[in-house]
Amino acid sequence: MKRFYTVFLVAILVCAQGFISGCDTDSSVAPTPTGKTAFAVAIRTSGEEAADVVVGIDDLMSGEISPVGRGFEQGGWRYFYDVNNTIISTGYGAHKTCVGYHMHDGALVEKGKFAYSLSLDNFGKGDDHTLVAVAVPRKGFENRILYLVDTDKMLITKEVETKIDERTNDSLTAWPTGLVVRDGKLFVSYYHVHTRGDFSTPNANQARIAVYNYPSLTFDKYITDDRTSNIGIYGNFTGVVKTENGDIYSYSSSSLASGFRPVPSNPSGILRIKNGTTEFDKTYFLNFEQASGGRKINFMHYAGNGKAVVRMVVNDSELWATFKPTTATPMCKLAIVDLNTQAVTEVQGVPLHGGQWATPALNHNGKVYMNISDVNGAYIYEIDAQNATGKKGARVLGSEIKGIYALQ
Amino acid sequence: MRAVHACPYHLVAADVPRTVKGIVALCFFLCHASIALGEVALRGSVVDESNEPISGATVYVQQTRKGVITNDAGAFRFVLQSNTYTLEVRRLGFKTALHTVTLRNADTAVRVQLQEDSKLLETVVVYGKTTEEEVREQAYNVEVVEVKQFANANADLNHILNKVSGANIRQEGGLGSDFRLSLNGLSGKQVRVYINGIPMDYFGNTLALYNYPASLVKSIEVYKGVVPIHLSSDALGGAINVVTNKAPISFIDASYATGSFHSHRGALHGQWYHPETGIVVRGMSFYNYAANNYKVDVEIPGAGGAITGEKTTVTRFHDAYRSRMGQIEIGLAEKSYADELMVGVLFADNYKEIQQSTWAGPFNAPYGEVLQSENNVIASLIYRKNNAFLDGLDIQSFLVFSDADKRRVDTSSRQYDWYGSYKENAHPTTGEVERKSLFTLLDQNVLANVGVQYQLSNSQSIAASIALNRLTREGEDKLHPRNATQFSEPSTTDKKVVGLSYSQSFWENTLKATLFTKNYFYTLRTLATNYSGTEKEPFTETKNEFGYGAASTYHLSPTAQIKASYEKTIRYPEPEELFGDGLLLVPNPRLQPETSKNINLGFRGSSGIGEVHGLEVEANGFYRNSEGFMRTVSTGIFSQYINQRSVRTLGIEGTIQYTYNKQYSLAVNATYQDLRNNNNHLEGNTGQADPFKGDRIPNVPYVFGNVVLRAHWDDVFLAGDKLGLSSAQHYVYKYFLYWPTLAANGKNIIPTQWTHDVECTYSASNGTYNISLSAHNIFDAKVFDNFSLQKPGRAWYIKTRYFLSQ
Repeated sequence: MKRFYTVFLVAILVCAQGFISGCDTDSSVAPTPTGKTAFAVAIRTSGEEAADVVVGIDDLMSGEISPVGRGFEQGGWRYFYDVNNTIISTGYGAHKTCVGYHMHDGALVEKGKFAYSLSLDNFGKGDDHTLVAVAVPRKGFENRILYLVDTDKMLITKEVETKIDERTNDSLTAWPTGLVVRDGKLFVSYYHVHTRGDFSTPNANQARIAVYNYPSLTFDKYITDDRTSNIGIYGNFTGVVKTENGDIYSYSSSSLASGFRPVPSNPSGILRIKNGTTEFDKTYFLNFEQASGGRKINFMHYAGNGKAVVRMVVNDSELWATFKPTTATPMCKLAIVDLNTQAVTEVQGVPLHGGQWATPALNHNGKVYMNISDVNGAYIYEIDAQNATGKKGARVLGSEIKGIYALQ
Repeated sequence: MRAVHACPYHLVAADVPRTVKGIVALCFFLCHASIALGEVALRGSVVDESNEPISGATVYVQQTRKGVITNDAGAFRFVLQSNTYTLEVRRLGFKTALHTVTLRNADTAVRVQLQEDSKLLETVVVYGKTTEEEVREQAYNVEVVEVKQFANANADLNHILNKVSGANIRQEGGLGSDFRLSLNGLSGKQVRVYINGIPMDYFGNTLALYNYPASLVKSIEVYKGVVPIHLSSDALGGAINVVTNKAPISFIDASYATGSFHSHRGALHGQWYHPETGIVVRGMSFYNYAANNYKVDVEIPGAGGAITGEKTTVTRFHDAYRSRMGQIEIGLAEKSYADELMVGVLFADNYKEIQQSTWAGPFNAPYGEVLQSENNVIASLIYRKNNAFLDGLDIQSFLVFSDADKRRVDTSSRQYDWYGSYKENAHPTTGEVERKSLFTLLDQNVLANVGVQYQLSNSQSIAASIALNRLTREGEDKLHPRNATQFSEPSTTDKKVVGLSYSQSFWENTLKATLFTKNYFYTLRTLATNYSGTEKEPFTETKNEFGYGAASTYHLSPTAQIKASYEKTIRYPEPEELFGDGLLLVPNPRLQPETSKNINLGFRGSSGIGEVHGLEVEANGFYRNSEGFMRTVSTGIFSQYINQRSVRTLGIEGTIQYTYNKQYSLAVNATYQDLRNNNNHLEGNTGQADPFKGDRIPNVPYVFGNVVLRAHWDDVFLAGDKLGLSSAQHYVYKYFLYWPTLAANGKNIIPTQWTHDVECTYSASNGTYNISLSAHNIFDAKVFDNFSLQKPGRAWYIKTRYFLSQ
């Protein structure tokens, strides 16, 4: 009888082994179709579901761009940026990884990835191969971390902890809004938020930039200006921009809908740091509210030839209202600012639309390509900054375009 | 006095769903009207050799030619003139017993022990059915798991449910980790869990199913679609009712198991029953502990944050779990004014360390000090009486107060790595998860339920039930602004469900049908706040919805039946789904109730039960059309419930069990469920067609099943001993984390799982002394139920159990 038990036990085990070997193996995913793909977009697929996609496309101006069946799935909600012909996709919260994508043999492929210890909140270009990024704790008096990233190797090369601008007595910390490198200096624009983590802005009535030495990332000095308010807005990377001749322009929003509460009393406006200097140009101030008939800047993108495309707020009544790319009550409009003449011209042919995080804008062949979206859908628009006109292009089958890229 | 229709060999089948128990009881109450002069009550119980109650046994008084059938507690009762009688007790699979009893002028109690009949009873004409079998034969799509068979195994209720056809449990990690149960296409809170009919919605983690070892439970009723009105709560379809042993006997059941990952699991269950006075004292307790220090493969970034794909095996170091529970109930059983009247009090607590976020990516640093704990006190009053006031009028009711004190802590400023070492003050003012939090939450829950059913005639009955469920929740958080505001004032959730049903049987019970309505009333009073906790406004929602349905079954033959049922259901969002748990689940106050129209079709049949070759087959198909389907999505490290506005589900599940000589068995079950997105446009984006319409709902397993082999031998080494061997395999096919058709490269996948558990049990002295040795996941497969959350590998356990009854 005992032999029978042994045989039975063995039989059970053999049977079990059989099931194991019968397990299926995961079939590998299909490769991206090859062919010449000059453009790529990052798509937010749905207003609720957190799964972005990076997809290579042939044409920005016609047809539909679908997140179905092609491109690279992103592990959740991501920030996108580009340096060195590389799309930089960084995960937020738990997904603290950065993935780079570039063109290889005519197809978009993954270049490499690295991990970091704190969510990256702002990005800039150090040099042709270097990404500058800054990670920001959401609350309390904590160090921010400045990173330099080698985008050829997709590795962190330098990591420096800094406060940027902490005001212990007033419970204020700095939230960076733009990173520009010029002549061995890193200009970090920021706005002051309360340490309790509610993103209130009790002391925003001054433009402030922290200047660091680059690439050592040692602190140099603060520069301030009282003609306008804190520079830049939350979740966007262009508080400061650099022109062809090395001038730096900054924009101040003073907008409730863009996240400033209390709203600063100084007007929304544009300041300049002339090439060769590290101070605000006292002779230059563009009072945007005056120039535009009472509107405020939500986002500014430098289009070249002294022109900037500005996303402005036409209804500034609700806090954070611009952070709704699928809004049913669109309140943003595009305008062209001539930084030299200070003329503000509304862009014709672009409807009212919702604002965004990490607002994408691509300069390509003298035109600017942007996402224009609301509850009715998301489109790429081609903006002619010289003539202040816009043209509707491809439609994306998703809720928002988070990045538009032309890759070599 | 009504005619005695319960003749000795009368087949007592379930006339109508839920009235089953009532009818069984009714049958013996119908045998008498009231106790006249000279009459005394003869009370008794029928048990098997291991003193487990035998339900469905026929007890026949030869002299009076009266007969009754024992109830699920194995009990029966006659009212007789003082005299000497011979009881003839029969039950399929047991030798018929004759028992002589002399009744004098006092009520008398007897106990009849039946011996198992190893021979096949070819000549038996009795077709008795167990309570479990009677529940299975209801028109509802229901499966009953007789947990007794697992009592000696190192199995908790989650293990057992995971082997039920149509059910799948997704566990985040080891013992105590969060889990999500799915049943025929519905999951999480869409499926309600009850213990002896009492909804456990707000009883907290300490009483979650994984805490209950099998030895505390008699059976589990798994309603896979339409839920009878006596289990009244808002559910989208599906309910699990855990039934504990309430037989009026005295017993003690003690078990202790230990094994891998520093696991210790003890349970003590005892009851003292005094037949003369009817006094019952019942105690139940458990203790569970596991360090959960199992090994997982993680990617630890190299210099410059480099991710190379190389995995490192590390040991989880902050994942311990402990739960304790003690319950005592005192009351009366089998009295003229109450079949059961019990008051009880329960104390429980748990402590749980949190190692990782639910949505941790593969490169994520672990948490080293985040934890949560809970204290529970529950007081209960249970009353049950059949033939109250009128013959055929049955009443069940309960009143329960539950008080749960929850605490969540995320106050450390350290940054841990997978080796358990840390950087001091890496983030001095934020916690490990997010903003620091020291959160306490008090949940007070009052449950009241009254159910009445009345047998209008032999073929018709009506039933009504009213259930009240009120939750008051208040909390404080000294560190976290959103929590501090969100829970600063008491939030209340009031749910009332009024159910009515009418049942009729036709053609000598071969066709049975039930029509029912459920009226749901819901009021939520709470606060809505923002991320920063700087704003708060009162949020009140009052809703009243009407649900209805029908269930029917037709017996093709005594061993084959088909079932069909339909229900329109509703489920309201829970406070936690709306307002989060204060830690990783973030609020979504815009959540709307979910509704569903469910159709179930089923077949069950058997042949040769009790013979050399026994075969049982069950197959169920289901269709659900759900609107506002709630599901969790990740937003960074956090998760949030959203309404997936429209989901269409089609599915099929089935079981085949083959038994040879009642000694060897092979059971196979499999489930395929097809949940599809039926949205026309993107959420909150009316102008954009949903590119994922028709896509499979992501992050939901859709093919899974089990293979279970069992064998046992009696009288192996000693007389009255028993050796059992079993092998259980669980399979889940891979599924996508996000929409299956989204993108093409870098898809995030939860890989296919195939795990094997083996167990050897040995019982001596007719089940008094038991020992078992088991191996879970014996081939050490790397398995995940949730994206990048690795479950334990191979684990060994040894369990001893002592069971004695009188």
